[in-house]
Amino acid sequence: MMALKPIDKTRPEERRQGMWSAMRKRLTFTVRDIYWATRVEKETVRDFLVCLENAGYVTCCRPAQRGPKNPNKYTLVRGLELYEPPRVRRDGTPVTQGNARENMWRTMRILKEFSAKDLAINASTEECIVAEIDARDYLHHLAKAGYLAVTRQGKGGVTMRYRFIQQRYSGPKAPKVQRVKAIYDPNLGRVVWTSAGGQS
Amino acid sequence: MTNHTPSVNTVAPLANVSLAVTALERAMNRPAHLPGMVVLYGPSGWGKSTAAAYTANRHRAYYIECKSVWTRKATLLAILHEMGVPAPKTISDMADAICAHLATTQRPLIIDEMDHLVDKKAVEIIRDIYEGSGAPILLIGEERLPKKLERWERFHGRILDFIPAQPADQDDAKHLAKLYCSGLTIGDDLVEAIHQASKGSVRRICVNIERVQEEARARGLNTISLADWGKRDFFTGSAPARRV
Repeated sequence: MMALKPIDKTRPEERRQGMWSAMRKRLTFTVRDIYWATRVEKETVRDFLVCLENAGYVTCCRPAQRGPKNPNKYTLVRGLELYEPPRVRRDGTPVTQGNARENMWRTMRILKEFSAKDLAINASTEECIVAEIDARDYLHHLAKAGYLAVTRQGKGGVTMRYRFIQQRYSGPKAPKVQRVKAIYDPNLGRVVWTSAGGQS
Repeated sequence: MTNHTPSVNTVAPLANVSLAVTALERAMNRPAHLPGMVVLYGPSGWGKSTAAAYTANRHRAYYIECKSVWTRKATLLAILHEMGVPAPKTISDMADAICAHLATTQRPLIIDEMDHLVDKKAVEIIRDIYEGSGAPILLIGEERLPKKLERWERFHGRILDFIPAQPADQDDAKHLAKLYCSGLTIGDDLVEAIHQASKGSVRRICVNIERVQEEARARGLNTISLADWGKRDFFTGSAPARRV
């Protein structure tokens, strides 16, 4: 299996957003239609369709004898009103990874000044509980990338506090901490910090 | 979603949080003939931001906080920025883009510090967005916001509900103490004292709980009661009295 490309190396059209828009525009389509519209590998389109079918967003009409002239026909039956592609796994269950980050990113801007604990508590909902340790880790990285200023140094029994720098709010998508020790801002579409090169 | 089982790990059980969530959900699930804007108002520090954060996270709402210097254009630009939609050139195109995006995504909009828009006479722009998209909108502001909105009759008529924020009660204080203190039990008498000193402010309750926690940590206690705390001061928000 090929290794996953780091997110800043893939074109936006290659991602699910592109496929999803193409599907919404057509309502009834084949894998080939989506391939021509988006130039996403057919295998990737098929993978996404498996996810969507299991989650009940599309239905598939499978001809008895499938061939180049008789392809599977897919129909979008649910989620027509959704602008963003549904986040679902192969078995159809919703993807929960990233929800915590999205909640934290949104909550930081509302709270303005906070500790890791404040953030974890305020960003938690019934569907997505944010652990304090996750909040601490995320804040640590965002501070390095210059999204946050430290308003109180943590030492001994004193908790560290941060302030969100409003001018750095780049949009609704939460910056990602990549495995290669870098921070990617999906709103700007670029890497904003690396452990080697610092802020960029 | 209207049925929630308030979890002990979230702020959902706090009075103002559940008021805000219920109000917004009522606007989201309203029958077509009812208006879709709700107003939450109350003094600062009463947990309106906490309510906004929870509500926004629960429904993936768009959130903006108005500033006193904002013009109509600045307001629209801020909303577009929050949605991640590139800004068109003219004001009317901007309003259209916002309406189109809200209508397709069906996500609610939360506008905090609404007072600033009222003072700046930028109210009508919010009404345009509401009319153009039908999206449920939660407006948050200070105590006098409903009074101020009365002047804008066409706006006033589109409000489903005015909800006054409530001062934090005993249960809120208890819940906050539980949320913030892992591995430390604060005695009921001390929570009661914190609640008294904080005069209904969620913000002050949090500051005081943190002080208690630091004190307990410094003395190596895992339960702390009013007797342990003694005559130490609480943060009451009033300016320090001069002792001469």
